Amino acid sequence: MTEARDTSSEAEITDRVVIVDDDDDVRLSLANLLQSAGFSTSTFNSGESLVAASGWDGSHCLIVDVRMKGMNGIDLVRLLRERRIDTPAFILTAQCDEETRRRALRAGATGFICKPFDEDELIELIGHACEGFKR
Amino acid sequence: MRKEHLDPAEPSLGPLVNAMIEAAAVRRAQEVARILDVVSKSGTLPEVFAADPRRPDAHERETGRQISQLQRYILDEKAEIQAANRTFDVAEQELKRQLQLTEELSRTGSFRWNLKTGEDHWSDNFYRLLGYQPNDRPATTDAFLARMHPEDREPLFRQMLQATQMKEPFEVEFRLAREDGTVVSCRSRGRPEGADYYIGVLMDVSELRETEKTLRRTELALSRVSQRTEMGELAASIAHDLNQPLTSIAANAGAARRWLGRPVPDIAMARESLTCLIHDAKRAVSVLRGMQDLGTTNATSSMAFRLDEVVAEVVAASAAAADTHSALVLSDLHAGDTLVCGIPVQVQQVIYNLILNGLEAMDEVKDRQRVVKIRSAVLDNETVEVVVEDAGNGIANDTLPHIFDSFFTTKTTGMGLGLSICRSMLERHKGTLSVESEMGLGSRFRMTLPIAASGSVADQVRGGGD
Repeated sequence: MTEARDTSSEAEITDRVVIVDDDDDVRLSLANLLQSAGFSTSTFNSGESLVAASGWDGSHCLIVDVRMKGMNGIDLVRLLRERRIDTPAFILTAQCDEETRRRALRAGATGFICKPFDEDELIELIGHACEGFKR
Repeated sequence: MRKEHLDPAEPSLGPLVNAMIEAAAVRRAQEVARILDVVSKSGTLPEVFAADPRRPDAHERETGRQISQLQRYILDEKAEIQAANRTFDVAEQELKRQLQLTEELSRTGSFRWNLKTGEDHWSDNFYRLLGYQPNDRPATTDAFLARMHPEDREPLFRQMLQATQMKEPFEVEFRLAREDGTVVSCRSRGRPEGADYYIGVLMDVSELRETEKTLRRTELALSRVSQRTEMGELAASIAHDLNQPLTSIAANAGAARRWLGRPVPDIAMARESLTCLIHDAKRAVSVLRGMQDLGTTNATSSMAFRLDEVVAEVVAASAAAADTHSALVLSDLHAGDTLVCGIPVQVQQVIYNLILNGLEAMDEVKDRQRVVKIRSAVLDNETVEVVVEDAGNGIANDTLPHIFDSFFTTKTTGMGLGLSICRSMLERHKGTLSVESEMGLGSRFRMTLPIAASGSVADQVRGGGD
């Protein structure tokens, strides 16, 4: 099952963020927040649907939930790194313990976002990551 | 002649020695019998003993020689029997030594009890197990009972008496209290032997009992770890379920603020964000309601049950814990067939919790018996009560008003939720839980429950076909 909602406008080059989360409310609210801050977003409800989809590889940043049905977020990031996709990837989780953090970073994650997050910090963090990747 | 000393139950060395003696005796006896047979039949000595007719005095000499020869035969036989007896003595000593060693190593002792005369025979190790020196006193029932733990003396005596009257085998377990103060857990097995005897063994099972205690403590610790793990998993699950809507609320609220804060406010997107936010808030509320339901009495599992039955089950289940705390749990139940309505297992959890608290409260008590007493009684037409009383050191006056508060604890472990949850459970059963305590004497927890209306619950009675 693939769900992709691309909000980018062809007329302007905005920072494009991919959100992968199996919780509809979290996924859509996160997309809403990023759009309100000027990002364009693509959303997927599973790691498998992201891997199967095309057209998102021009994105500047990924936000991946760690606890999903099927492939979990850490395995998804590991798979992307194995495929030489080096887009910054942030792990989104409520399990903000050291062990999860270590596993995420070892798999190739760029950073760690704890739920619930501070919206300003999140937007700043994602903005920096997009800028860095574009350079 | 030594045959009587050999115990037929002992190893095969005895019969072998007997066989040797018998063979030697038979050989000699056959030889003597043969000579006497010849003499009696012919009136003369056999050829080898016959007199020389050429020398008249030779007959006397020959007779003397033959008598000497017979005496030698007799002496030889005596020597042989003595040698066999020495072999037998060595073998008997060896057998005794082996039996003693076996009894020492296996921490057992054996006895033989003459029912008619009351005379006992105890093995050396039997004496030692009782804390006596081997053969330092007559083996008597009184000497045996003198070493019995005072609490076990009467029930043990009754059991033994019953078994011997019925001529049945017995297996009893009791404690021995030695003079030096040590208490030994023992098991004894015995069976009738012939018409007048009982034979049996006494075994020191202290180590086994200690191991069992350790095992029970481990099981208890494991069950607590398991409870904590379950609590941890539950907390993690609740945290996750609450985190999701809270994350969405934060994101949608932030989005709404940003849509409105744009140079040209996007009212439609802000409204959509707020609509989503309300949805998220409702989701959070439903998670909280789910949590509340976890602790609520489920009407479908509520039933009428006999209070005394479920109390008796808890008392039985607490025996292991009592043992671990070197204490006793005694019950005195007088609620009879009185029914209460609710969830039996929750009522049992409350009582078990109170018993465990009582046992733990007595850990420091050294000067009196550690007993938790459970009493039940019908107070009036509507109420039945269960009282759990310990002989601990009591609860301080300034602590007493807080002991049912959540997160209040006087223990080094636990979250201080036990009594708070107990009271909540009883309140959900329309019951009460209160406490009285006297420093230095102990505490008394009193729980009351409403009696179930018999007509409305008759069909639901637990175990109701009896």
